[in-house]
Order: sequence, then C-alpha cells, then structure tokens
Amino acid sequence: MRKEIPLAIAFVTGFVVLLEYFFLPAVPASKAWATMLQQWGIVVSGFAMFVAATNLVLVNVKKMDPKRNKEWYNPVLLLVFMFGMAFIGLFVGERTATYQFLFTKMYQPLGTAMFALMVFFIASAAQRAFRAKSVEAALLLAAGIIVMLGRAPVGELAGSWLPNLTNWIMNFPNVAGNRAIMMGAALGATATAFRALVGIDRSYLGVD
Amino acid sequence: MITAGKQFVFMFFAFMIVVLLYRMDRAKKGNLPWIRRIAGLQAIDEAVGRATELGTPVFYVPGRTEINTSGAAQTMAGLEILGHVAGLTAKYDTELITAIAAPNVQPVAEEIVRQAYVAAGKAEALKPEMVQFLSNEQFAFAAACLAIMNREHPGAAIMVGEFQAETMMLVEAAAQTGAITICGTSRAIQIPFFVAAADYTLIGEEMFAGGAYLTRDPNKLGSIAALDVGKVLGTLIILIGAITMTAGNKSFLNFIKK
Repeated sequence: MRKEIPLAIAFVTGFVVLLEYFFLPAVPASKAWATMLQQWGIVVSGFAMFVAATNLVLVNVKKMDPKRNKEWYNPVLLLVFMFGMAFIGLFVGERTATYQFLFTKMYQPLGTAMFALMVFFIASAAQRAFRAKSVEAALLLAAGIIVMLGRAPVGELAGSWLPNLTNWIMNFPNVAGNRAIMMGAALGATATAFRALVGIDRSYLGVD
Repeated sequence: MITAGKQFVFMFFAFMIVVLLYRMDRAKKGNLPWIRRIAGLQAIDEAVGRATELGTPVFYVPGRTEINTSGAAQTMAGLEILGHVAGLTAKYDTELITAIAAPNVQPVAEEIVRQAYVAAGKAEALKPEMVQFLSNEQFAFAAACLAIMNREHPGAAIMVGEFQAETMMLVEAAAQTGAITICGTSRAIQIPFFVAAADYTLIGEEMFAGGAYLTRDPNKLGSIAALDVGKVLGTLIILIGAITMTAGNKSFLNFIKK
C-alpha cells in the first residue's frame, strides 16, 4: 500500500488535469476538480516546507559546535535570522517597519549583490570556454565574437554587415538549434510525465 | 468535445501515447533499442570515482524547481540520476551532499537517497546532511551552494534539473573548486551557460534519457525509442508547415491550429 496509494493519487491527479486541459467543454466540472487539486498541491507544499525547515534546523544545529566547526557562527546566524524573520512575519506582521526593514534593507540588497556577482562568474567561464582548442570551440569563439560585436554600438562602425551577420546567426542557426532542443525536451518531458502518470516510472517515490 | 485550439495537440499526444506503449511493450519482449553513447552520463561513474579517490564529497543539485510545476519533468529526471549517483556513493563510501531548493523535493530526494543506501546495504551511513534543504529563494540557494562548494571542495559536482539565472554561478563555482562538473537542463536559455562552463553537459532530451541509460530498464528504454518517432513526426510537421506556408497555402496551418 505504501506504493499503491501514491501511485493512485498521481494517476488520478494527472488524469483530472489532462481532462481539464483537453476536454473542458465536454466535462465542465473538470475545471473545478483541477483547481481543487492544484489548491491541495499548494497545501501539501506548505507542509513540505515544515519537513524542509526541520532538515535545515537539524543540519545546522549539528554545525553549531565550535569544537567541530571553525565557522560555527554561520549556522547560528542562519537560525537566528530564520526564526527571527518567521516570528516577526507571523506575530508582528509583514507590513510593520521592522519586517520591512529586514526585507528591503537586508534581504533584498543581499540578493541583488549575489546577482551582481554573476558578471565575475561569466567572465571567468568565458575565459575558459572561449579557447579555440577544437573546431567546435573555435566556432563558439567566432560566433561569440561576432554576436557580441554586432550587438554593441561599436559593431556598427565596421559597417552594416556585422549587425546583419549577428542577426543571421541569432535568427537562423540559433533558432534552429533552440527549436531542435525544445522539441526533444518537450517529447522527453511528455514521456517522463506519461511514465509517472501510469506508474511505470516510480523514481519520484524513491523506488524503481 | 475537445477544447478548441487543442485538437491537433490532443491528436499528437494520443499518437505519442500509442507509440510509447508499443515501444515499451517491444522493449519488454527483448527488442531493446540502441541508445548512442551519452558522454555526460558515461562520465558520472568516472566523476564519482574521482571524488572517491580524492576523498572529497560528491555535490548534487536536482534543479531548483518544485515537483508540482511545469518544470517537474526536469526535476524528476534529476532525481532519477540522483538515485544512480547515491547508489555509487553508497557503494564506494563516498560522501554525498545533495542541495535542495524546493521544499516538496526534499522528502522525495531523501527517500531516493535512503533507498539507494538501503539497496547497497549501507543504511547505517545515512545522515541528514546528505540531502540538505538550503533555501527556496534563488540567490540565497546559490549563495549556500557556493559556500558548501568552497568549504567542502567536492571532487564531482552534478547538477541536473531545471535551473534559472543561478546556473552560471553554480557551475563556475564548482569548476573553480576543481570539481568535475556534469550538468544538464532542458531550459534552452540556460544550456549555453552549462556548455560554456561545465565539463559535460546533458542537453535537452539527454537528461530525460538518463534514467533509461543508467538503469537499462526496458520500459524506459522503450520510451526513449518512442521519442525518436515523435521527433520524426515533429520534423515532418515543421517541413510541411514551411513548404505550405512558403507556397501561400494556409490550410495546414489552420489544421494544426484546430
């Protein structure tokens, strides 16, 4: 029963959502059923957050021992801020100045700073990737240079051929490659979903 | 009876289901399809072996998407490969760190890793640290992954699933710590980042073939063979559409729009 009940739930849920997607005019009630199941999904995800938060606490409490972890203060900070934000959000209120301060003056700038770091990672990866060590790498390098120059205002100084070549690369080889990948990925996703729906693929239950 | 605008999609979907069932049935009867060598999947054993030799952990990320969203298939593909990786780390007594961003993936990943360790007879080696929930916020998750990679210096970093803007950070940080990087996604916009920075990249459908390729399960192998039929059909539709539209005939376009 440990396997059968989740498989039955997955089948019924998938079937109802497909019914609503394809046969809404024939089965108008399917919209309400699908909406209800999606709402249940949100509730289940809410409970999953407790499971995930429990794991986070368990892992980090173990790391708080100064004898075993030189950076013991990091998990302490994590848990203080995690429980602090949760407490303020739940009992003081999300609209209060304290919560807004923590969110807009601490959380958001930290996220933005992380995003800004991306430029260094891109530069470092580009330095490794754009080495003409093989024919494929040389093609990547050439295409990268053309597209970067063609997209920059300085590219127009070389004449209209560079932006035109850039547009050709973006509109033809790039789109063709993207569509091939998308078609393969969509079919792969369909097959994975179908296997899960009919219970052939049980990897999401931890069994195979 | 069928919703307007979805009739052709339904026909294609129904056809694919029939082909899937047929090819899976054939595979079960012993007609296993041939699958070309996929370097990224082939490299998983080598990457785990390298981490074992170095005495460093294997770092795994099964994407950042929840299991009940449109990216669920990618997450499931990532979890399938996680099962294989966990089996290897259990076999070789290598440390495994799985970073989770989606709360509802946490229990699933925990169960997959637990099953792999139990199957390998290493249940006593299981620890909560093997599957860690980090954060469901994009850059908080990326920061936590970067911190783990910089602290633990994994010998192998495997990231298969749906990723967004954090892609480049994760794979480049892993490369900088000296890990073999094996990455896969079917999000076309993120694939170039993986191609540029990772040692091996599973592009699009290759990640969905992972489970079949690694487990040699007849059902899964059969479904991979069915995808080729779908691709041929899809290519034919594109060709017919291109020819008829070039000739100024919209009848085929109107047919597929039904």
